[in-house]
Amino acid sequence: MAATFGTGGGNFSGTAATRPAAMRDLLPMPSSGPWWFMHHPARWLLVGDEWLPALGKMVAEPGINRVDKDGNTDLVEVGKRKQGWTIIPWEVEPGGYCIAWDGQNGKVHLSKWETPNMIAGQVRVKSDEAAYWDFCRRLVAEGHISLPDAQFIDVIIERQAQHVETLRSSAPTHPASALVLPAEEAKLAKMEAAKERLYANEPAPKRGRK
Amino acid sequence: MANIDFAALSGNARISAVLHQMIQTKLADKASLWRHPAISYFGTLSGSGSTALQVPVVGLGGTDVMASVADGIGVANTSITASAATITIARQALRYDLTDLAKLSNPIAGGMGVGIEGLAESIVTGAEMRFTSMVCNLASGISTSVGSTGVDLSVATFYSAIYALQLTANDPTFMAVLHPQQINDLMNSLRSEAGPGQYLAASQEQVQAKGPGYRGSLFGVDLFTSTKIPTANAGADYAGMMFSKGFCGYADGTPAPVQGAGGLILPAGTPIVVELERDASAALTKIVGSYYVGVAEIEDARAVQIISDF
Repeated sequence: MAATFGTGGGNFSGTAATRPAAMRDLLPMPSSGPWWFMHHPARWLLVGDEWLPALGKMVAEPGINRVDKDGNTDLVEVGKRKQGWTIIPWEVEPGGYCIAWDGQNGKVHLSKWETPNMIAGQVRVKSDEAAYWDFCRRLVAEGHISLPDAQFIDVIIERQAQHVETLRSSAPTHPASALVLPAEEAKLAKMEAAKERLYANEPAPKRGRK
Repeated sequence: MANIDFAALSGNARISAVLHQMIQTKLADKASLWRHPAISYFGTLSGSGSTALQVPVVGLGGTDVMASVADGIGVANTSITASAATITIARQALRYDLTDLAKLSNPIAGGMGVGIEGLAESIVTGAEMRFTSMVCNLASGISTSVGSTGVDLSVATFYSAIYALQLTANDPTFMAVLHPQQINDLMNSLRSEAGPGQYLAASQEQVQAKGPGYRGSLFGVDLFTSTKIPTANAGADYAGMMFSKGFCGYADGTPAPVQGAGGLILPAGTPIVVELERDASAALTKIVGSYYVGVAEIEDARAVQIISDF
């Protein structure tokens, strides 16, 4: 008797091909550990025409600043809090603000507002600055960061005033100083106006990382 | 009759290219801050019973000042100001796997180049660069900051950093570690500067003595450059730093050789250990380098962060 082979009716299905592990696209950037934003009451920047917090970073890489062999940051946090820093939790930004990318030498941790891409064989990191400053603005508005003590802002304004004064005295004999003087004077005026606006509203309650 | 030209021999009696006996190392930042005297070394933790070292920061030597006391009145007791910084060491490592086929075909004598000795040497440089990266990372957590976002580093900002350190009575020997972009912007700003400010470019002898990252001296501040300087404000800026001795320090530890283990290379004068692990079945040699080190900020008031445009 002849064998009869069943036929499937030609209902084949396929799936999208995946690259072999060795051919995965990995970011050619140095690896870096996870980190948290933190803020010190003395650190503020004039951005446009408003004062916004200048955030620092607490890096969770073993061996750096009391981070232990397993990446535990407990001791760093204690030390930084004693210095007056506020650690900003990841959760304040939906989905977190610290994003891990697969890199050639391990994970690369960048902020949510930084996007790496390859241009002509080089890695360029595109920064969405406007969205980042929106985030900083929200940190103050929602009370994660307290409004600065006026003295800290005054220190920065005084620094700018001193710079303007130096330019004013050298401008008559030094064309380069005369050239930048109007812009620096305008910046000083912006700083003072921004300070006035900063304290026009009631400060929000402070909330930090638990 | 046909000529004996190159095409006739190519692939048989001639090859398209031969390897030179010397390799050129790929362009990379090799400017190391390792063992720089401005970065305090607090010794080894080998055999100490801990992976953490506590460095006392005590207010001695003029921190407490005498006060006038009226005749016949007892003087009040002064409690000493003290704090402590902790340095925790952890393993930093780098591994290369080299097959025997790759090893035996290495055209460079003595295992240098992409051979076992060459890779071991490369691991030591890798450890130095990791150390530099760890030091540069500290710039992100300095509480005093000068500069503006989106604005190139200028002489005025550089002066602001000097003023900030001087205000807190720091020793006058300052050192600045800046990203190459910040150095370029600073030099550009210097071109239009008036007055007696002086930039002393690094001489060949100084570079040899202070390392390839040394860029000279500006207003008495030693300038170093490193691409390991972190970014700030979501990549919009660089966060360099200027500091005096005592801002940061490091400790390390070296494990003792394990009896019966594979080959061990202890590069002369370094705490780095390079071990060789054989996988005979795969004809593979693993070259594993380990450096147990911790870098920490000791006193925040001895440093200032310098923010400038990316």
